[in-house]
Amino acid sequence: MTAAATGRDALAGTVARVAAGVPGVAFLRPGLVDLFRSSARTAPQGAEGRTPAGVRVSRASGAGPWEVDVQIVVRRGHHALTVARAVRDAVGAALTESAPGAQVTVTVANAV
Amino acid sequence: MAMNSDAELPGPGAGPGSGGAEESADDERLACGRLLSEVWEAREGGSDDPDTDRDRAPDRDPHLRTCPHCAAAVRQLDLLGVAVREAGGGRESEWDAGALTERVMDVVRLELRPGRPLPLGEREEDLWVREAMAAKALRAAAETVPGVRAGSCRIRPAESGGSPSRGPVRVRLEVVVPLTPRLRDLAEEVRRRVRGAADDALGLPVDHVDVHITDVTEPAGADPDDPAGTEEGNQP
Repeated sequence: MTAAATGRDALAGTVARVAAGVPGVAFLRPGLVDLFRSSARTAPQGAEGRTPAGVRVSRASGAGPWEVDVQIVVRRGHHALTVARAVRDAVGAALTESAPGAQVTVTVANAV
Repeated sequence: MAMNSDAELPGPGAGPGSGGAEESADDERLACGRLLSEVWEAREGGSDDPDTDRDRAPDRDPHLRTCPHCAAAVRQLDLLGVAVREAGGGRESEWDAGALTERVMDVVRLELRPGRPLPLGEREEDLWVREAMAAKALRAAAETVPGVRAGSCRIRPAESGGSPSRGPVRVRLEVVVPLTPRLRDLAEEVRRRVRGAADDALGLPVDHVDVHITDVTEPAGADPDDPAGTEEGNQP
């Protein structure tokens, strides 16, 4: 389980890095919601070292394709669809080796 | 086109009508009971009090120094503040703490109440935009028509079906408009700009835009020839 979790975290880290570097992306969805949710209330200091809040990586089975969910905040003045497509393509390209066939979902959460 | 005279307009920062406006106070309250906005403002150094510098504000309130929840909130907000400032890309050369705080809180609010995901692009794509962000963009577009103030903006799938549906959406926007004999033209102009923004700013396929005029305001008294709505049709 730890190995699987490590693989998932590495994948999420790659996704976060690639997505954040796409032009028009201001940052990934910040994890502020965690401050208000019950899990965070018992451990408010646990903010460091987690998977970035804007990335969720999962797979239905050990052999199935990865499902990658990226939530981004775009820079004001950028076309949301264009940026979302660029993120999808960049993430897909970055995962061709480590997670071939990954299914990438991109959600634009906000603009700043 | 619905009309009534006692419409209530949410402020510019208020929710886009995605449902949970009433829960906002609870949502932004930390486990220690403090409101996130209070904590952030204290961190900013009490902008209403020019004699207070950033570092002194927490001294006046020992809770802020010792509370782990407030500390975590401040740390997160600081990170978010840095991110928002960098996203500005130097457009704001002047450090304006008030404007920055407002933008950070705007991100916080939309994160707390993002609304439903709406489809971006083609039907077979897996790209989405949150309703709250889309509504913000469409309301802003409506307000580019002179004198128009946008209220509630609801965006729903035009067709019922699987959830979440990938089809084009239906927009229902409430506006307050200046008094003009050509209300229909004004509504049409609002509709045109909303459609334009859905296309040019978002890439959100729109099936239909309902513009509801909820109130009509007198043009500014000081300027009876106020050109609100002059763009087309000021003729009687």
